[in-house]
Amino acid sequence: MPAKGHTIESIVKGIRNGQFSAKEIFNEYLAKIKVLDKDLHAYLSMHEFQEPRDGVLFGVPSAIKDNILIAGTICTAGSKILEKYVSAYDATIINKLRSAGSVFLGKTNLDEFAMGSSTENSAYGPTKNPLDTTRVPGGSSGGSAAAVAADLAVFSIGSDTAGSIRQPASFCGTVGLKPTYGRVSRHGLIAMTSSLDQIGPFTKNVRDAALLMNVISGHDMFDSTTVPKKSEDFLLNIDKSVKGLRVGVPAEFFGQGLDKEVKDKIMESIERLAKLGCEIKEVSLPHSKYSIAAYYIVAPSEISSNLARFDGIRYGLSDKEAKTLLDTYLRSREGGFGAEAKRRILLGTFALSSGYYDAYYLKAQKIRTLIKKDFDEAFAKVDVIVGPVAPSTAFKLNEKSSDPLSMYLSDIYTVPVNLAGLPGISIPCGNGEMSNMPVGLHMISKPFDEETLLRLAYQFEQSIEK
Amino acid sequence: MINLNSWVWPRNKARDGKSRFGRLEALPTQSISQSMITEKDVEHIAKLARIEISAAEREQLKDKLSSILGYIDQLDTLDTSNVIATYQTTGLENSLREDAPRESHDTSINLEDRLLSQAPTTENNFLKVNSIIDRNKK
Repeated sequence: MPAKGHTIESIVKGIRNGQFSAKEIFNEYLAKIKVLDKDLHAYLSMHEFQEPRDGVLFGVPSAIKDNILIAGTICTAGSKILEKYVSAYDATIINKLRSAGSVFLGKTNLDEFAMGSSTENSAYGPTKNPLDTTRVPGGSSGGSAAAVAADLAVFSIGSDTAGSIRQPASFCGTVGLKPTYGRVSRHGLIAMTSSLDQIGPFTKNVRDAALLMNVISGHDMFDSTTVPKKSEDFLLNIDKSVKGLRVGVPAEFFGQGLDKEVKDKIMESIERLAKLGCEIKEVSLPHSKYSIAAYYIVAPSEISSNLARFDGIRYGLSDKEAKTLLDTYLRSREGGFGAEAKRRILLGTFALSSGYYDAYYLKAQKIRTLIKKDFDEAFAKVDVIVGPVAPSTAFKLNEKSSDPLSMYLSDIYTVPVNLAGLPGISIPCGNGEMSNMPVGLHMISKPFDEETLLRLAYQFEQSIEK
Repeated sequence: MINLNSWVWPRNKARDGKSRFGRLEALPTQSISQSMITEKDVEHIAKLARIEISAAEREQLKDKLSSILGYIDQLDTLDTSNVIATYQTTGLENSLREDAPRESHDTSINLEDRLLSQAPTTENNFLKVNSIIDRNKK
C-alpha cells in the first residue's frame, strides 16, 4: 500500500528537474488544505511561503506539531492558555529542517500539551481520521498523522511521550518513528514529561523517515539530554539484507485485550518477516503490564512540575479580574487548562505531595528499572522486537473521551518503549478485517540502533509493496 | 511456529459496559478502595497546584482520580525493595560545556523584547504582577 501523494524524494526530484517550483508545490498544498482541512481539522494555523535553502529537503512542504516553536508564530500546544502565544525563538529541530530546505505549511492539532491518545483533548476541537471521518486519528500527534495520511503535507513532525507518534501513525496508516531518548533535541518543544518526551517524524515511507533522521539527529548544547554521537547515515545500509536478523515476539503483547483483527495482521506480518529470512524467537517482557500504571505516576508528576510555568504572569492567558497574585494563578490556570490537563496536574501534585513520594514516584521509577531490564534481557537474544502498536484500529470519536482510563490503556504497547528510552517505529501492515482501518506493526530496537530498525522496517515495507 | 501464551491484560472485558471498574477486574490489585481520595483531598491538591475548581468539578475529579489511583495500586503487588530507581535512560552524567558565549544563538534578534512582549503586564521592562497581600483583608 504505497501512501498517497508526494514523498520527500519525489518533491526534491521534481524541483531539481524543473517540474515545479518550491512555491508552486507549496501553494498546491495550501490550496488542497483549504478544501480538505475544513472537515479534517489537522491544522491549527497556516504559515507563509519562505524561499527554501538548498539541501536534502529542498522545497519540501512539511507540517509541525503545534507544541514545537517556530519564531514569530503562534504556538498553542492545543491549549487555551497559549491561544495567543508567539514563539520567541526556533526549536532546534526547526533550525535543522529549515537549514535542510524544508518549508513549513503550518502547525498541526494535538491533544492539549500532548496529553491524550485521540486528539479529542485539543482546546480547538478534534482532528478526524482522513480514512474514516467518524474515527479519531489517534494522538496526541493526531494532526501530524492526519496531515501526512491525507497528503496535506509531505512529512510532518510529532512528539512521542507514551506512543503519541506511533499510535496515530498506526491509526492513519503512515510511518511514524520515535527515536531513542537522547537522539533528537527537544529544545523548543513545549515540555510535557521531560524524562520521556522525544521528537520524531511521520512519513509516507521508511526511506523518508531515514532521510529525516539524518537531518534531525544529533547532540545539541541547548538540550543536555542529547547524547553526543558521530553522525550517521541511516540510508546507507537500508537496502542490506535482513537475513539472519533475530526478531523477538513478546508473548505478553498478544494476550487478552488485543483485537483479533489486529492480532491477525501482526501474526501475518511476523510470518512475512520469517519469509524475509529473519529468525523469529519468543521473548518475554513480564513487567510491561505495569507500564501504564507506572506511566500515570511518572507523567503526571513531571507534568505538574512542567506546567507550573503557566502562571498568568510571564506569558499566556492571564485573568484580568484577578485582584491578588494568588487569584492570578488560580483563575488563569482554571480558565486556561482543559479537563485532562487539570486531572494530570492534580494527580501529579498528589503523587509528589509530602508523604507520597516513596509510594508513588519512587515506586514508579523502580518499576521503570524492571521494565528496562526486561528489554535488556530480551535484546541479549534478539536484534528487534515486534508486536502491535495499539490494541485496536482507530476507534470512533467520543468512544473513549469520557473515560480517561480506557483512553490511557490504548497506549499499553507503546508506553514500555518510552519508559525504557528505546526507539520504536510503526509501519502500516494492512487493514483490519472488521474495521477496514490500518494496522501498524510495531518494531522496537536497542537504544541508538535506529539503523537496524529502519533497515528491517524498509525491507518489510518493500515486501508488502511487491 | 511460535507459541504465544495468553496473557491476562488489563483491558479485558473492555466492551462489557458493566462499570468503570469492569475493565480493571483482571488486575492484580489488592484493594481498589485503598487509594480513594476525598473531595477534601481534591480541594487541598488543587490549592497546591494553584488551580481554582468548582464544587461540581471537585466531585468529578474525586471519582476520576480515585479510579486512576485504584488502577495504579496494582504496582503494590511488586516487591521493589531491592530495585534501584531509573530516572533517565541515556546514562549521561553532568553535561558540561565551556562557559563561553554560545554562537549558535541568534543574537541579531532582541530576545528580551520578544519575551517581554508575551507578558500580560509589564512596566519599565519588568513583569508586573498583582499585589501578593490583599490589602482589604485584615
